[in-house]
Order: sequence, then C-alpha cells, then structure tokens
Amino acid sequence: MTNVSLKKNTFVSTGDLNLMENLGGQLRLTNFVMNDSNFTRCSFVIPSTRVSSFFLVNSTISNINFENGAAFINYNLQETQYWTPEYAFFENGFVFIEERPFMVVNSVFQNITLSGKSKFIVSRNPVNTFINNSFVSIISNNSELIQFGKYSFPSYQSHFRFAVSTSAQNAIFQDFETYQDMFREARDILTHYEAS
Amino acid sequence: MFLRFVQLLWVFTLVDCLDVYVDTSLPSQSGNAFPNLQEAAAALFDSSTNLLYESNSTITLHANTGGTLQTLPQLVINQEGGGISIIYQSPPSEMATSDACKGLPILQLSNSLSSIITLTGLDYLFIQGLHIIADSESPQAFNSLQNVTLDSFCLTSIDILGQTPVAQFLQFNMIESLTLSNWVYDVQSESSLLIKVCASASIHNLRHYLTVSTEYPTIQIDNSKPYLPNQILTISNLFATCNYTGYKQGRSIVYVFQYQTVTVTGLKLQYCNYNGRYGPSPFDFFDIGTFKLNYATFQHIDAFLPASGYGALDGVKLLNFAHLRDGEVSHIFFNNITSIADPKLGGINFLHTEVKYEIRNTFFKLYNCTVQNCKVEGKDAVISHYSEVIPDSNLFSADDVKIINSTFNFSTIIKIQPALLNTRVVLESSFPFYLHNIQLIKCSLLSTSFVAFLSISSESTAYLIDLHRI
Repeated sequence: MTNVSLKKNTFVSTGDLNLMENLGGQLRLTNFVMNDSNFTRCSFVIPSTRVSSFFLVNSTISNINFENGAAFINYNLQETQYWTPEYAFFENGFVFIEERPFMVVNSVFQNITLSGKSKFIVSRNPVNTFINNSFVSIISNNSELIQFGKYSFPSYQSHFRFAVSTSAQNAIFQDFETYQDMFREARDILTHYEAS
Repeated sequence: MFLRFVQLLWVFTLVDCLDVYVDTSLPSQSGNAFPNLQEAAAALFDSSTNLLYESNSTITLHANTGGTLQTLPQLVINQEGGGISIIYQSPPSEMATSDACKGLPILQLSNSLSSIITLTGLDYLFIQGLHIIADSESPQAFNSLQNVTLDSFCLTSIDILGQTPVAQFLQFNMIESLTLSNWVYDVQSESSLLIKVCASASIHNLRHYLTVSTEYPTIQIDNSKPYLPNQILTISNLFATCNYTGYKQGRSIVYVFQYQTVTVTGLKLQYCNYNGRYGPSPFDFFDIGTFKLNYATFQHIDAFLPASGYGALDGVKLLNFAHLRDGEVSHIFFNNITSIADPKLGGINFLHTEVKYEIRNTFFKLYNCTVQNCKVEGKDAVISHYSEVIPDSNLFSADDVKIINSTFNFSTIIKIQPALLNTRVVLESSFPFYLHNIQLIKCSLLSTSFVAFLSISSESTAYLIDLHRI
C-alpha cells in the first residue's frame, strides 16, 4: 500500500472490528500519512491467524488520539496458528527460522496522545527493526508507547540447529531490496553487540 | 386490387429498389404512398414466399405520421441478401430524455394485433425515428442479418395483464454488426431485450428508464452457445434512471455473458431504491477476456435490507465483475448512496469483482474511484475482490481511491479475500495485491474495517514466507 492518506476521521469500534484487518498477509505501508483523527477501542492495523511481516516506511502520523484501549499498530499475534511447518522449513539438518520482519523506517510520529490503556505500537514478531524514526510530543496516560516480545516459533522440534533461509528472506523482501539491506545491517549490528 | 397491382408493377419495373411512403393525409393508397405503415410494409414482400419484391426496400414515414399509432402486417422475411429501411422523415436531433419520444410515430408490435416482425438472412435493417412499443406476449426476432442499425428511436416494453411474459420480447440473434444508438428504453416489462452471439454489438447514447423489477435483465447480451471468439461489445453513454416509487429488488440493466472484448464508456445509475431477495446487479459483466470501463456514476441510491423475511438480502452489487481475464475500471464515482442493512448480514457492494473455477492469471485494475457523501451500514464491502483459485494468481490493484465525507457502520470499505486455502501449496513467492493512493477524508467509521485482507485457511501448514502481500 503506497501513498495512503487518512485525514480528519473518527474511528470507533464496539471491539470486534479494526481499521485494517490483516488475516494472513504481509503488509507494506509506504508514504502513509494520517493526521487529525481519533481512535476509540480499535486498532489501526491488526493481524490474525499467521504471524506476518510488516513494513511502515516514509510515513507521518500526527495529531492522533488513542483512547479506551485503542492502538496504532497492534501486531499482537505471538504465534502462527498453524503448526505443521512446510518442507521449506527444513534442509540438511537445519530448520529455518521464521523471520517475519517488523520494520518501521524513516517515519515521524508527533502529537500523539494515548489514554485509557491504549497502545501505540505492539509487535510480537520475531525480528523488530526501527530505523531513523522520530517520536515528537507523545503524551501517554496509563498507556504504552511500544511493546515487543513473546514470539513463539511454529514448531516443537527445538533440538534442530537453526539457520536463516536466504531464499525465504529474498521472497519476503521481493521488490523491497533497500529495506532488506537495512534489515541485514541491523541484524549484523545486533549479532556483534556485546552487553557490558 | 387490380389497380394496386398495376401500380406496384409500375414501380417494380422502373427501379431496382422499392421505395414506399407513409402519408397519413392520404385516404387511401396513391402510387407508392400509403396512408399507414401496415399497408406500406405489406407492399414490400410476398407473404406467401416471405421474400422481398426488391432487394432494397425503404419505407419513409412522412412528418405527419409523428405521434400516430402504426402497426405492421406479419412482416416475416426469410431471404439471403437485401434489406429494409424504415425511416421517419423528421427524426429528433437528440434523444436526451423520454420527452423526445412524444413526437415520433408509434410502431406497436403485438402478437394479438398480428403486428410482428421477424427478419432472417438480410444484409441490412435500418430503422430511424420510431417509437417502438412491444409487448411481451411473443418475441420479435432478427436472425442472421449482416447489419442492423436502430437509430434515434424509443423502445417501450410492456406486459399484458394476465399473460405470462416471454423471456425475451426482442431478439437480435447472430447479427454480424448491430448498432443501437440514440435511444430511449422504457422498461415496463419483466421481459428482456436479447443480443445473442453478435460479432460486433454497439449500444450508444441510451436513456434507460426502469419501472418493473425482476430477476431477468433489461438488456441481456450473451455470446455463449455457440461461443464465438473475437466478439466485440461497445457501450457508451448509458444513463439509467429508476422510474418507480418505494423499494424494489435489484434488476440487471445490462448483463453481459462471455465476450472476448468489452468496452464501456459512460455509465450512470440514479434514483434507485433497492430491497432484498438476492436482486441481481444493475451492471453485471461475466466471463470476459479484455474488459474496460471508463466513467461511471452512481448517485441518489437507497438500499434498505432488513435482517430477515421478505426483503432480506445478501448484498446488492452496483457493479459486478466476474471472471474478467484483463479488467480495467476507471473514473468511478459513487455519490449520495445510503445502504441500511442488518450488521450481521450482507449489505451493499458498490463494486465487486470475483474469480472462481480454475481461471488463472487474471488482472483487475481499479483506477480513480471516489466514494462521497455515502452512508453504509451492514456487513458487505464497498469495494471487494474475491477469488476461489489456489494458488491465487489473480491480481487485484486499486489506485487513486478517495473516500470522502461518508459514514460506515459495521461495514468494510475495501475487502480483499483470496481463495480459501484448504490444501498445502508449494510457495516460492508471495502473491501481491496493490493499493496505491488511497485517501480517507472526513469519514466516521464505527466497527468498520477500512481495509480487510482475509486469507482464510483450513489447512494446517505454516509457511516460511508470507502467503500474500499487500
């Protein structure tokens, strides 16, 4: 999805439906603009069924109120609800990890108000990458700005040795190579990081 | 009688075509002029052989026939070659509204009046400037003609009280080139106008008024049985208005089935009130190779769809596209549309596209679509794409979609639903769907999804890459 613009809207839910329901698909949002809007009891985007890759790139979110348990990005699915990994998961004694990148890149968030147990960004995806983003004038009242973690792998076979599937990663980043480079660079930095 | 025979013989021997005239000021036949259309038409052909006396026959209706009621004899012609022209001397310059019909000569086609026309095998038929009123008791048919043109005319279909209407009151079968241009179609019948297996069919500048609603389309265009490849259908400037009060079930204004190439420019539908019982789509395009629609406007439309009982409905689709191999739809404007439905049941679809069976590698592109000043309540989506094909190689893209000043309750604005995955597939790349330049401005959404992407699976496989991408 490119050049999506949401301005001066009101979003309310009784709790059943959200603004973007993503059931089993990778979502790419580039040049997304949202401003002057209110969210009550609903999320802007929420996945279900499968842990899915997510990209928010070159976007501006401003003057938005979230209240009564609302959320902006609510990738709260901690595991894919299908437990038979396809054959592509396995090769020569290795099991490939499910990367499902969650990336927020070159985006600006300003004048955001969170209240009533609202959340701004939630991701339980296995790899989360934030690069060159600005958070300006964020007010959080009894709410959370960012929440990561609690991902579960879709296999019980934990005795395997794990590896990254290059072909799977290339397929996930198809036509999005710039962000694949960023993703790899960030992973390299993380790999070489040593806690002091 | 003898005198008439001598007069006609004189005409036949002097010219290789036969021109006759209708002049209502005449008390009786004078030369090749007749006081009414029935006598003039009877002078053109031999009713015992069903052959024209001359290959090229023309009936010209004098200006004084305007507004008069005319009939035909049992005009049944079956011959190879030749043709008939029926021309009103003072046709209107344009057919902008139904008022244009008032001054035209009225040709009443009715089995009960023995006023029928059935033409087979001619090179051409040309009709201009008539108001044809045809009842649905029996069909009028034009079969296997080369060129058929009806221009600057009105067509009114009517049902007869107590008579079951035929499925099609007017049939154009196997016409090489059919043109219906500058016309007013007043639909007061449940019966359809049928265009069947015509190599090239064109509908231009149609003002369409709908009074009677039923499950049968008002214009049925069917290229099946036998399916002929390379058929071309062109529709331009079709403006439809519903001419009834209260609410009725939807009725197809144009239903197109199986065409190689369809081009539509300029559709308008307005002042229609719909209720339930699975009413067909006003514009329904089914199983088409290359399809293009540019400029369509839907405005002042109300749909009231109660939860159950009479009137309960599972979705009215204003624009419905099924199985388009290469579909391009652009400049679509929805304005002032209200749909009230039960939140748990189907409501209204403004634009719906679907691919079923084993049709693969299709592409549907929606470009420049505006939804403005609308209120939608109910489960169905404003714009929806649905596929039943696994793996989903049927692409959908929407570009430049604006939703402005509208309210949505318990509904969905854009819904993309790929095929239900019920078996393990070999997955080497994600199947993409594209949404570009989408704007939502000054809208209110209550428990409504702006974009719902629903890839539902009943198999248990976890895939290493994402199944789909938006």
